[in-house]
Amino acid sequence: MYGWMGRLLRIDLTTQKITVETWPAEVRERFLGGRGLGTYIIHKEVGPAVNPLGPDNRLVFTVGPLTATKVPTSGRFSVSTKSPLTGTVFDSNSGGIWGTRFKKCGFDGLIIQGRAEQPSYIKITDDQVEIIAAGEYWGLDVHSATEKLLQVTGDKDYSVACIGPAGENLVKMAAIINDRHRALGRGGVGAVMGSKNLKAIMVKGTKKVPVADSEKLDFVLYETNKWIKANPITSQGLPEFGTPVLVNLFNEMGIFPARNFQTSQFADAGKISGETIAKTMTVKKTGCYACPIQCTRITRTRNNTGEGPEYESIWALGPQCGISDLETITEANYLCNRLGLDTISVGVTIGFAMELQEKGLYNTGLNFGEANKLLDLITDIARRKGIGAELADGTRALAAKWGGESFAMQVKGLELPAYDPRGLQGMGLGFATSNRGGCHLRAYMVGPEALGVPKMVDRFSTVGKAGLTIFYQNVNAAVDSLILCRFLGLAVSEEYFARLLSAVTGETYQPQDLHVIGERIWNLERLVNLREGFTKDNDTLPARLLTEPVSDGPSGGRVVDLAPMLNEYYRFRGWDSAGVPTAAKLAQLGLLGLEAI
Amino acid sequence: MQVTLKVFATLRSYLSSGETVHTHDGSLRVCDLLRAYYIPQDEAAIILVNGLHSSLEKELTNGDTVSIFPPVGGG
Repeated sequence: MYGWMGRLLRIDLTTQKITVETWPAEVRERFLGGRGLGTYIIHKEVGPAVNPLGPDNRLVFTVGPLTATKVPTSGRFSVSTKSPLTGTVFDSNSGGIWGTRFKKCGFDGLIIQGRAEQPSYIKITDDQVEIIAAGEYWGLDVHSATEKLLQVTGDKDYSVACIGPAGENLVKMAAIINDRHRALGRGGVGAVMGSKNLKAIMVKGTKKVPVADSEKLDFVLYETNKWIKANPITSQGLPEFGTPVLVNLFNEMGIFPARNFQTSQFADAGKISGETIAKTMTVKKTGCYACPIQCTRITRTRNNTGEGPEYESIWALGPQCGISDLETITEANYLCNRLGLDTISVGVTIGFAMELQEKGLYNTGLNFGEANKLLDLITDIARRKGIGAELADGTRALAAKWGGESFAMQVKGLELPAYDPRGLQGMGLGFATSNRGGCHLRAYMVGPEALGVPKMVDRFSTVGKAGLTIFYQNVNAAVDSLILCRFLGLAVSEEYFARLLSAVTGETYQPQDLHVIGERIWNLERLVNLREGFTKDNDTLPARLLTEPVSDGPSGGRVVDLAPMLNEYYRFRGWDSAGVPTAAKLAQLGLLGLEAI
Repeated sequence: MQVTLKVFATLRSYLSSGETVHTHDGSLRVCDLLRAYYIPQDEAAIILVNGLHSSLEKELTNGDTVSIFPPVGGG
């Protein structure tokens, strides 16, 4: 076997039992690894009766067949679970080096179940697996816990993924942070880890990933790297300015929401742009393991240093809350990393609380633009203190209690990211149909609709958007299973992904195979969500985006024209008009019978 | 007529202020405007006129805002 390690590690924290399982070749072929493998396990082991924060939920860390190889951007890993924030099947992936070191321990996945009696951490050193009491680490922020674990171990070749106080306090937007700054950010995966009384997982491996055809791999790598260098986005745009380069572009286009999507432009965008960060804050550039793109910025404020903020975080902690002070936004970003919080969900929920105040629905004491309150508020969310306790369960829960559903900017419970889909119709469809709720990365329609990658399409048109959205949802599900960074796709297509996979595994994959695998993963995720009680009614957007036209600017007068796109989407997916995969589609994908499990 | 030119990211090496008001008599296309500031056409990957994607051949009218970006990505 090449590419895969062929083994899964299972740790039951209740019984402290540690087992090593093999996983069948048939599952590898059908789901690859990463998100695909995670979805397969969640579908098999986590039924609708399982409480996301109960011991029966699974926290499944996975890597893919390309992880820990020489393939650029392959230093990624993923976690799958039933999300306490959304109630859907959920996966989140991250860069850094943790995934590489985990795979080198000889595993493709780590399934965590049960709940430890006392706070614990897991230490994996190749085949040696220990569950160790973590009492002295409980309560520490991510950086302190990471430093202390590495110090006590006395070996810097370990990589730490851990939760902060937010995860310990079961905050539903808690992240798991690895290698100090990288986040398995979304969906409250940190709360699931906290519910298991698990503070950290540290890994160090020395095994090699077997590669079937090194010569062929070197050749495809040579070509791939050539494309990365030749592509101006991956060779200049991202390394030079990182993701914040999008601030000005999207603001100019009128798709940069502000004040909880009340407007689609932000007057102070220039103050928080990638250009401004590069000029005033960037200390140096860095990146994930095995990545030539190096889009990460190490930045400095008056008092601190850290990584980021990325585009999404700038927006969520800035314009979404009416805040334009870059220093505060950056400090807030550092703070979220230290406390183990998802910046997007935190910012969107705070912005929503600000509008609840503005509309007189709930006296949160928070007003748009109040930068001076932001840092304390974030700390209170992580500690579930005061108003922070209300915000800790996310936008959907806040709206259920205090009203304002029409401007609660979430889909299936996941807070929306930094794009106003009223000016990007396909993005609107992508948000509405995403299996993990309001997410920009499932389809990443911003590529064709705003960036012209691979080709520019009319962003205001609904024509053809269903087919395009499905195409990208499928291919990205496969990319998340290999696992590669979405940014590699800016330079090379799935043809290269298939060639890389073929060289590493020794099995022949065509680009079309990746589409089919992605489609299979997508449909299995859909089956899990249907089993959880989600219906067509959940494939929608907040009423604000469907009925309140953008007031002015380039997207002025627009709403998302969702219904026609959605109907077409179901038809093209081979689903019935209620959004349920037909028997014919399930048979085609080899999923027949799985809907009942 | 007057048009506002804004350039971003790496293109600021051609116009360090990032923004200028350009006055012109007669007809003016986006490509003419780029030429006036020595901005190579092949570096202008994304061209917006009043926030809407446009081409190099687009005829400008008084009061237009032209925003030029090199190839960018992220998210």
